[in-house]
Amino acid sequence: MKNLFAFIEKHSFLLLFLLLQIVSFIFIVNFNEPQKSRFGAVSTAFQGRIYSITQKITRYFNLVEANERLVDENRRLYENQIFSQFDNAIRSKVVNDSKYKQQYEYISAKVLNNSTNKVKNFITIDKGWKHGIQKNMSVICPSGIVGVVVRSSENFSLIMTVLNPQFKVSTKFKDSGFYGSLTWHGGDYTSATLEEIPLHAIVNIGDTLVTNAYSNMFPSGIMVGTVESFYQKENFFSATVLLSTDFKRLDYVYIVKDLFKKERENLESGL
Amino acid sequence: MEKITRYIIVFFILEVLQIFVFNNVSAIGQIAPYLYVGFILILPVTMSPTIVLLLAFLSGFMIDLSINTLGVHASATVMMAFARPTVLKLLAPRIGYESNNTPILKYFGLPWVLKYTSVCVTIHHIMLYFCFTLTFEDAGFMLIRMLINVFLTVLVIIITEYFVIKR
Repeated sequence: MKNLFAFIEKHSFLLLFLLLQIVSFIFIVNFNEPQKSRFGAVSTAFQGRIYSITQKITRYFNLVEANERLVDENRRLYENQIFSQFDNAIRSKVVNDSKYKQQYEYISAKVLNNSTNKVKNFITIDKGWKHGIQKNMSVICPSGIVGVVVRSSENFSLIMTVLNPQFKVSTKFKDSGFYGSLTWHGGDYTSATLEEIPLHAIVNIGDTLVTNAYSNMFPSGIMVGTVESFYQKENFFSATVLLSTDFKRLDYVYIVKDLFKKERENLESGL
Repeated sequence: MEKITRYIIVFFILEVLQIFVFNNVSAIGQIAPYLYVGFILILPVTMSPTIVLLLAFLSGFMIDLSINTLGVHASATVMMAFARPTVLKLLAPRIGYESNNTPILKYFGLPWVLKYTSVCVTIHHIMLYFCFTLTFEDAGFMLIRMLINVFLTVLVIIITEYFVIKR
């Protein structure tokens, strides 16, 4: 307290000056119309800026909730996509009126563990057989294919990603329809190799590659990547494919549940 | 005691002159000589700066009350009173202020008083015009108007002091 008084006494000139100026300005902005509106405009702009800053900060707090909502919405949108529907057109006259019947269902999951730099790469997700996940289900993400389920426990599942030499998937050129087999031989996590492309196929650098239904794993038409370069290997072309999925940034994935898988497997095993 | 009475009389004369005469000569827009600031300028050098501040606020505030610009002149005059000790220190003559501590024409001569008055009045007017508009937009036009007004105010103050010497 003594120090405070000493301080006030020492700086009385400056403090009195500031006090008188503050009093003057209170008078100015309260009793003069043009200055009042001018000050009003400035303070409104200032308030607006403060508000937008607080808004920016608080936005982060409900980010998790927003994310979950978006993932759920995506799942629903995927189910309504045309490639998720089994074309029922011919039988519809006999069985029921609908042109389309649901073929694929999606289960959203969060990636808990991820590897990209090993020889065999796997990811772990937070959904297991309790949620309906079974072995050999395919896994996709918004930017492309991810892999296939190899093992699942009650709450978790292990997914073999594209970045695994054991993973093989039938892939076709979106435009020409020629297909080959996509594998990964280690090394760079951004590219894989498409093998067994017939020699008469027209291959251009930059061609888009999508999945086809031949391997009975992925829905047809899921983005895989683009052709980066190609070369002849024995009696086939081989192409280096730039994968559209960024495996370093996997966050949420969707597990594809094929409702007709059993039926097709039963039929094809009879061959 | 006699000196204080004289200052009080000067204070009221200047305020009355300002309110009833000089505030009404604003022929060209907002240009008018502000004679009343002369009162702060002629206060003794040795006077406590705190009291000068209070007197400045009072004189400015009375002008504000009379022409309904509450706070504008008070703020400008307080600003000038705040700067006055520094200005006096910078302009201190070689002999100092010991012999005469009233900074007027009679004791210090025209060149010194002209410098002192111009600097103080300029500070006053910068603050005054800023308070009038609360912005720096259109600064060029404002600056010209302000400089004309500074010239006018300095002229009126010097003339007044000149007549006081004669008498």
